[in-house]
Amino acid sequence: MPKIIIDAVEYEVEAGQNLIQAAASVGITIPHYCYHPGLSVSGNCRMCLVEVKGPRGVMAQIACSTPATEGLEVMVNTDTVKKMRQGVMEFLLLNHPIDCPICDQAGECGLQDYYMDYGLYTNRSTVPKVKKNKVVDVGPLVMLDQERCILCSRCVRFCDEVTHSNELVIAGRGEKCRIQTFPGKQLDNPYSANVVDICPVGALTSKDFRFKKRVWFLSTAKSVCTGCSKGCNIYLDHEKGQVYRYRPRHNAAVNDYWICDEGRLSYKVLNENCLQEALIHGEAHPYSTVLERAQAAIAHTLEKHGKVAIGALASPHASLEDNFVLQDLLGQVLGPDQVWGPAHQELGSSDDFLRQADKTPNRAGLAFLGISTDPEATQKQLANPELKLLIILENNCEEAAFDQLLQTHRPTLIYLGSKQNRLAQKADYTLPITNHAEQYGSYVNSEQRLQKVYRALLPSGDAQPGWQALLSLLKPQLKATPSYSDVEDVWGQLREKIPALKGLSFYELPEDGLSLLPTETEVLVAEEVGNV
Amino acid sequence: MAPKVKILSNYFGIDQAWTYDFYTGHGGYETAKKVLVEKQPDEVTAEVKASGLRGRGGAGFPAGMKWSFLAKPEGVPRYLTVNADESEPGTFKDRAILEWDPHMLIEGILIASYALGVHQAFVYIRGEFHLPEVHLSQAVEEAYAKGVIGEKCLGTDYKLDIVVHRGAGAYICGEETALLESLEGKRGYPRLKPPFPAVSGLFGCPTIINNVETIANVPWILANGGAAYAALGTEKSPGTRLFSISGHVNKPGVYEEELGIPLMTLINENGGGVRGGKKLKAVIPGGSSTPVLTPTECETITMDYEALAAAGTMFGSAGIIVMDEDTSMVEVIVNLLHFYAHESCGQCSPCREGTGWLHRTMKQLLKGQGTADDVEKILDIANQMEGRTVCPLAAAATMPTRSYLTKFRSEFEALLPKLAGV
Amino acid sequence: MPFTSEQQTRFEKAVAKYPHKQAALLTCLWIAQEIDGYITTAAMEYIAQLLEIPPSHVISVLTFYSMYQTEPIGKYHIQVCHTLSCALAGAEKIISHLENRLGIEAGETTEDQLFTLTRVECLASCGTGPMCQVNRSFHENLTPEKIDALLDTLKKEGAAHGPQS
Repeated sequence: MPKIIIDAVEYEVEAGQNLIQAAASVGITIPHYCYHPGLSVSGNCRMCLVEVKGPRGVMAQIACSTPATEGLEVMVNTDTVKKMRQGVMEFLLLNHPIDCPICDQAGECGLQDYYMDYGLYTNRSTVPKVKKNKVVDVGPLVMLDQERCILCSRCVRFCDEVTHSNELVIAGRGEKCRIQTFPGKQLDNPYSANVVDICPVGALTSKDFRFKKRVWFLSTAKSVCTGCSKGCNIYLDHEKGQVYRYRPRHNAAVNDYWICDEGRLSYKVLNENCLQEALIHGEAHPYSTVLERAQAAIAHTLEKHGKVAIGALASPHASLEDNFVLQDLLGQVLGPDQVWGPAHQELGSSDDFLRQADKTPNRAGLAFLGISTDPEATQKQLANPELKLLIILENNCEEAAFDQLLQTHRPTLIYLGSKQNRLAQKADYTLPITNHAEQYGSYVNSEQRLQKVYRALLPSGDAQPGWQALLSLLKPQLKATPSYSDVEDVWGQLREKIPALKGLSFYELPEDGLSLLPTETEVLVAEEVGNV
Repeated sequence: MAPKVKILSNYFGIDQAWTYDFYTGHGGYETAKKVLVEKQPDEVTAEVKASGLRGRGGAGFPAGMKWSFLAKPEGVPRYLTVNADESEPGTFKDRAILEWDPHMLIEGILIASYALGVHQAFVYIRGEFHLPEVHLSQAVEEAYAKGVIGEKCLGTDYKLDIVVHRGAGAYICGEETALLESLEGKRGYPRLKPPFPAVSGLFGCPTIINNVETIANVPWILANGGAAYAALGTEKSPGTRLFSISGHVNKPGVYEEELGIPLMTLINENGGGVRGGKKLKAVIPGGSSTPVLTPTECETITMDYEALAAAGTMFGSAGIIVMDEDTSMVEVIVNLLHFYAHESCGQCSPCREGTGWLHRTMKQLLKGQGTADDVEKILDIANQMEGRTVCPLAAAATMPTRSYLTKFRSEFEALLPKLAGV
Repeated sequence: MPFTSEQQTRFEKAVAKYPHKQAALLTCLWIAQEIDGYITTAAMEYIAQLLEIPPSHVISVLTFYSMYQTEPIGKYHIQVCHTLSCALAGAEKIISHLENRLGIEAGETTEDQLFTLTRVECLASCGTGPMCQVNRSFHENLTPEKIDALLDTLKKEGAAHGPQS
């Protein structure tokens, strides 16, 4: 590990980093615009100029292209450095419209941030600003303002290096330089809106988010996108019970710095058709009434038809905790064979980057719990005319298999879901549960990575976490009632019953998740044992 | 006085001097033949080192030393690129070589390529050059046809291809890494260094970039020996140089003289003195990017790297622009700042925004619409630009700006409103 | 917009010179500009296809260089250098004279599409200023009389060859 000196203090840093990264690793921020850790180094903004001691004396050098190698000695806070930053700020703002009051980036703008630290606070320019195009409809999700652009080229590099779709380029020369697309072409790729996140200023804004909310009103929760089985890490931005946007959260093992557009916009389902009340045949009733009648239905079926007449559908949409509780409690009541996986797959478009064909976030979680994810097996169970009562956890129910079920032998349906969907309407008893923004929980992605979400919103209406609703529902049938009061209690059971989670708790799950795949050593050991 | 030595300009102005027949009729390609047969590549480099030849593009880096930096990894091609993007205002000497004596350049390329172990050389010629390109391209075709270059150069086993690559109008492509980008079919953005071209240059391969005039000197050096070249000029500035003289002189043109020649000799004897018997007001010694000299400074200065550096200016491209007593220094810098703003590639923020800002502010000042603190402000903006960018274009704009403002400050201040009480 | 067979040959010769196809981009743009006098969007797309690069990169590159036109210009493109040496030699007088004679301002094209007048930066003709470049040819040591003669020649030539296609 190389030792470097920053402002006369020696630090040991990881090898192979540039100075911005190395300084950040020891808590020192070097201001920058064009540098982005997920993209190649361009070195054009000049904001990260620092003073470097070299054989020819102290030289101004950009930190982004300076490798943090042994013996590097830099000054990042001298008057000269501050003056250089002030100079760069002045140049960047020279032809900038300074239209913060109507700019969506306000509050999370690199220009605003550094202006507070290095701004000159006096406009020394006496000449007119350079005019460029505004409100350029650059793509289905993105709006461009060329005048706000500082030509850092992050968006260009993103299109060239990450999506390889090459839509955005810099055209022109000198102060006439501007970001544009080829005439008649749009910034239109499945990851296009990432350019909004990486744009350090208000040049590229999200059409979806524009003018909706000042960012300083938003609260942020760390979460995971549930749009597909990739489990991209996100920030979920919300205010007063409404979710306004997802932004990618860096996770080197999953999504790096990016999310797909489809996933990004999937936040919308959190604001639409939330199931708030308990229902009987689609009609709202007091929660306790519905709960009691559902309980009675279970008791009645058990008494009249026995355990085999009841089944339950686990959910690839619901959290690991919900599914575990479903499996655990029903296992106690009915025996282990009556909990089945989803009856159908939910497939969509995919690619070799982030988007997965499986549009459910937790199918791997079911497999991890040992619940079959073979739709055909479940369909067979559902087709069994002996099935008299079915408990369904969070399901989209748009598939023919359900329609058939509902039309033929028609078991009693108890649905626990978060959406006002068809199933909620059709079920005999519907209990509202929370969605992933309203609860703590974890999901296993397609790469066997267990990742957690934090609760961002208060549950809407009477919704309860799925595990809690299940516990209430099955309480009368349980010999010993587990005392779960929060997700950590559920984890108490999880770590007891699932060896892979031994010693873990929800709060100790790393922010970037935990791979459930065997480690290299474990694989080696397993192989050796196998060989013996 | 020893007879005047001409290395580069012997055949300037002579009809048909650009043809193969003319060139070989005057001993052309004899040196290359000898070198390819008798000398080892390292010996060639050693000879160029011994000559003390310094790069004639502007930076003045010793050519032989530059060659010795070329990385030579196994199995990777390396390239020689000749910079014929002559665009520095006040400079028109490479054009003369290309127009009148392109075979001299080709012979230089052949010898240099042999020394460097290069089998493909590119000449990047500015897009506006038509006649120079025609003459050079014809000469290259002749050289192929006569077996000078190609599979078996001059009958030896040495192989060399020369490609003439036409630019399309961008001063910045004279900067060597911008030139490489442009040659690769990209925007002419200067590259971050390191890596230096000698390690990773054209198409990612080790590359040497030399100016036309630099390479054109090579045949003479190999024919007469590095020592003979080093004996010309001054100790640290050996050889001769093509001086471009323009502006208010009676006989503007390209003149070859030994380095170390007094500037006033060039102006008065070569250039025929200031036009119309006017008094001298200012002289740009090495292309528009170099700080301007006052008449007093001109009186004693000699045209060599060390003397010009000592006077706070630079030899640059040896493009001398002479200005008479009627010239407005404010107009001059407005003109030059327009040029630099137009030619800034736009990559680095200080240069992209700063050159235009300087130009507009200075233009406002020229119109009498400046503000009292303009001079100080302009100097400060210049300081904020210089040394803060990938390439030296920002400095090319700020160095002259600073020199005009300091040496002719009263002319600028006369156009500004007076501060109360001053 | 495909190249003619002669142009195609030139293109192939150019591409063969470089280890990477993209290096022939500037050459391709020159060829395309010959066809229409400026580079059309269709030409950009065609070139992109030939060189196997995104069309967006073609427009990014071509707009960097001052000599490529993206809009139609006159048959004769008169480009007057106005940088320092030429300015000291009287370039502004030459530009005014041209503006008066052509009835347009620098940056404009005559109604008959015969002339476009442009101010350009240093053309390395500093010792022979004022000067201009008409299409590719340099005209040096200009005087108003020389300009008049030049315009007369070009007008005759232009009339003889008919308007630009």
